[in-house]
Amino acid sequence: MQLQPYGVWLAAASLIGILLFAVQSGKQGFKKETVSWMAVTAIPLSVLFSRLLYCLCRLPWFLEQGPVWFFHFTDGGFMMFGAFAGILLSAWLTAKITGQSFARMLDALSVPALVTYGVGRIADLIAGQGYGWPIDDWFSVDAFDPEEYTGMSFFHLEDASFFEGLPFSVEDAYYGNYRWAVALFIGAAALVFAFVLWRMRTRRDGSRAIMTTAVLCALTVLMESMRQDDLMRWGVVRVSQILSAVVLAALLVICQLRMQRPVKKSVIIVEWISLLLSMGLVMVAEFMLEKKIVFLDFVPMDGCYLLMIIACVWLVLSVRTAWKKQDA
Amino acid sequence: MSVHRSRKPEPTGLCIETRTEPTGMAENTLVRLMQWNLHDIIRLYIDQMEGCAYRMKANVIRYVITCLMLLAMAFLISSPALAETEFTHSFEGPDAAEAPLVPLTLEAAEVQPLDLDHLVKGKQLKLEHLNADNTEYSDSSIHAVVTHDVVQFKDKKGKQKLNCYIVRVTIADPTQLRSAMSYDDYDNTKRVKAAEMAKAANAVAAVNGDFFKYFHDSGYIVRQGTFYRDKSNGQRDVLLIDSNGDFHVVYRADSDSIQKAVDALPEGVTLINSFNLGPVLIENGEVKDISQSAVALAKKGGDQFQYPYRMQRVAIVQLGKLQYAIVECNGKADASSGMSVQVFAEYIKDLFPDAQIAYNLDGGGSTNVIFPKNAKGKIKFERIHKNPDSREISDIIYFASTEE
Repeated sequence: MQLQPYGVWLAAASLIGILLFAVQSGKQGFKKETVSWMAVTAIPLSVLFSRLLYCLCRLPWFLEQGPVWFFHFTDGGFMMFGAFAGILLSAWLTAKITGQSFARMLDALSVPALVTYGVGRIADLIAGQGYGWPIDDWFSVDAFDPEEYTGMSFFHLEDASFFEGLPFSVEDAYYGNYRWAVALFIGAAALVFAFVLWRMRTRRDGSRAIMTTAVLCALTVLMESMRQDDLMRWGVVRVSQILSAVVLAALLVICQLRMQRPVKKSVIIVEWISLLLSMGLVMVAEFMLEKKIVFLDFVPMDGCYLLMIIACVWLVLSVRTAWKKQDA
Repeated sequence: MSVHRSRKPEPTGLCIETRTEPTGMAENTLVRLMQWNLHDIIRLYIDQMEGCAYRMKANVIRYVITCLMLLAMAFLISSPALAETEFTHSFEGPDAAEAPLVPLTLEAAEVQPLDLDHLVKGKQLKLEHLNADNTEYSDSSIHAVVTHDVVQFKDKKGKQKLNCYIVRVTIADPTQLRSAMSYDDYDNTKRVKAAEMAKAANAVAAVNGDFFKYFHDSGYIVRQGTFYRDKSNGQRDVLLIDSNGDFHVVYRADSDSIQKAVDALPEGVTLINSFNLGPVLIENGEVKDISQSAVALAKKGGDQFQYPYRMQRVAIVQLGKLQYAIVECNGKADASSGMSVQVFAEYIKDLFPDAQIAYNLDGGGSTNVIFPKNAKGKIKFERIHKNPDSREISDIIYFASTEE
């Protein structure tokens, strides 16, 4: 048995998360045993749930391999949303055991969870995963030269070597080209948002956790579409994007249930329409990227991602409207 | 009167024990408190200490468990992409059961050695020595078996299922291991189908060589004992085959290192063939780290042979004294399937853990492994696996029969 760089990185990320939670917990006056209960339950639950979700998403394969495959951690993978479900359950258990507020605990967990996710995501690069399109596809094709135009990019650089290295790109050993280091982008975005969240003023219990989850889902939708590695798909659709959509819908329901003042039905309907439209726009952008919409083939990749970014911001805003009201 | 007990933590983490009673009992409580003696106070103090110690101990235990779990993560959660390659075989062939495959045996027999001259070919093959499945050829001088392996494994790009072919050969005399070049002429640059060359040479089994005619400005070329050129540049591993049929390798060979290796041959042993491609995959049972090999250190492009790509691969292996194997893996020219050179080396190791030398030959479209076939009562030479993008080549390594 030997140390696995991937596992070491994830363990380090988890340790950072635990330490941050200890700091948050101290600041917010949680009981002393909160941190130890959280740590001792979150690690196994997040590992097991992330594996469980992975097995469920690959159910036919899992059934073919047999139940023991669940514990073959070196074969297959883990799903981030499963890990979050594990942490959620762990927070609930800790809240019950220590007799504290579950919502407050989730709020205190928001920053540590984001930091753990941000740092942990970078481990994908160790695994040779988490990369995106070749940078040449973006820069070395002249969109305005009819002979070269392939519908890929608005930009053209004679020399893209500036981007050929961390933190922008990683070398794909198989083809010798350079690909966007998407895992690093996801990690950086999560860390930046963790910082913003840390500076955000305290709102109603649970609000911070809801906004964290919403942003994380939108970030996943955007970044997963940039990934070109061995991520899990159902057909052409990335599984994480579907899970993100489901979680966002659940968040909207939670926000609407938490509203303290009565809200008109029409408002609720508008919120749902907004969410569904933004999801629809994500799908359109995704199919445009995959070149599945023939009459939109001319849109360069930059254009598709611009549309995707707009759609993701809209996703967050859809939830945020309800989120603000439930705080009012 | 019932008394309810509860523990409440102080902000400092220490605990105090309080006694509460139903409302309306305050008077009774006061009376009871007044009745407390020293024993009660000591008892309360001990209870407090025990409670705190218990809590502290439980906290410490939980932290220890957390640390152990983090440690376990570091050992157990390996990236799937970094997981050690494991091969699942599904063999088809005359004596193939499971890996590792064993080298073939040959009953000791006196055979007439073949002349070294490159114009001298093997003896005519006979149909009666070929089995019904066209997977085994056996006479008094040679025993060759083809094994088909549907191998499943996982590399950095994910899982794969590939067709691989292994030809194990045992010969009675080292002169049966030979090379041939297109048109039997070093200067003729025309390329020929490998099957044509194998047919002309009466090969029991043949494999493409190193395509030495592709460039005339590199490599150390000796064929059938004749020296042709020395333009080795230190960028490739060279395979030397001596007159005993033994393999020797020179890493990143240049003129000096090759000469040293030739000089080091035992007395009376001469160099018969040399091949310039590589890299060396296995030496004395040890898989080589291809990322540190000649191909990886070579300039990007030609001399790297697309070593990290998934491609068709082919290698020649010495298993023991006059025991050899040719290993071929299927793949596609667009690198969507096949093996990287490293995975190929590990695959060969999985097949033959005790392989003495395994040497990578020219893969991709040059991959050709030829074995005779009974085609309506006539011997026909065909590629075992028909890669769709196969090209004509300039040389083969082959095993010949000496039986008249």
